Amino acid sequence: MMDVSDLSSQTLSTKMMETLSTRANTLFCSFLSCLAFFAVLNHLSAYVMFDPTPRMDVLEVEKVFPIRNTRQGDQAVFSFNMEADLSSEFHWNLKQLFVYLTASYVTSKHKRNEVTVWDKIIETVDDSVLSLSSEQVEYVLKGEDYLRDRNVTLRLKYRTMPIIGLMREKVMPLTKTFKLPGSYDHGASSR
Amino acid sequence: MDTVRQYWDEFRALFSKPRQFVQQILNLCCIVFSALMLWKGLMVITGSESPVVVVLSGSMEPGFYRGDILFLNNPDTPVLPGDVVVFKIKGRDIPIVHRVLEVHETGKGDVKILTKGDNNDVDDRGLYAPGQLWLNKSDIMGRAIAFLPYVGMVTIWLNDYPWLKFVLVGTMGFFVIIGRE
Repeated sequence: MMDVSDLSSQTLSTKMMETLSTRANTLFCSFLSCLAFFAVLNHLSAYVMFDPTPRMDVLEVEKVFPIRNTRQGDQAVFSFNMEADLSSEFHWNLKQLFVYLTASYVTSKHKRNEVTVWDKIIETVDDSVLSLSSEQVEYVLKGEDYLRDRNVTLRLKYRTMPIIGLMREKVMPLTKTFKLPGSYDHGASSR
Repeated sequence: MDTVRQYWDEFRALFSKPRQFVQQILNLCCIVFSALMLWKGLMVITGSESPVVVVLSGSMEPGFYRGDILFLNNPDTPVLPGDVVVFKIKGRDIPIVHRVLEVHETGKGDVKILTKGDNNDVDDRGLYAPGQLWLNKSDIMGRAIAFLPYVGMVTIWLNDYPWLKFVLVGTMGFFVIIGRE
């Protein structure tokens, strides 16, 4: 390539050192560009190649417990049955799903209440078929408000959390509306 | 060592060519201001006062680890449970990245928000200011829309070891001034 026979040893070694740092720099830059390119490719290809078809068959309220009246407002607890299959969401750019059941209701003080009552992180495709029966809510319905006789709508939602790229919200179309009891649990109200 | 001497020679040679020296200084300014413009531009587009944040704690594991980067926006649409939000608490310097658990909106449009870290067992009431039960819309700096792993580790190192900042900025400035890539 380059004829170095006429260069003195001093300039030769300088040239060598020079190329070393330049090489390292070039190598590093190419590495970064490649990484960035494949990251983008990874994200885009997952959109094009996979078409998730999540299924949800069952969403039922199993039991509604009597409402407790506390100093911080009413608290309601219930249990539910749910069956959903989210396995088709998993592909090579998906790290985990954050699955959560929301309850939305209207009260006298608040025109919009949206509350997570149950959540789960799904990290592998093996765990992605949900089959819950008589599952108690994780977080009680509360919010400094009266809850008697309120209609509550349950909805399963989840967030796709990718290895790299955009995070998205997905909402399952199946909903379930039920009515909270009209009276308090007097045995527990003093607590 | 020879490389260093060569760089030093190039640096000294600049002083005999003042015009080139000035041009290189302007180049350096150009780079700095481009970065600033990019940042401010992102702020305008996303509507968030800090459009890119680095995750500093493990409270959102296994979703986000220390050193991951989140891109935020701050739209006018209602905050929903499940949103990952970045919020500021009075008396705390460092903003927190957690997930919205509850939203209650009053008739007047005030929003009460409760958050929780995915990896925490309890909600964030203990992290809020004393006596504070809810976050308002104004506490929210942005909502996470995109995720980039590991890259923020550089920022964490720069913060943990201040000398690294000077070394990195110094070398980069030096190379720009002597006119190399």
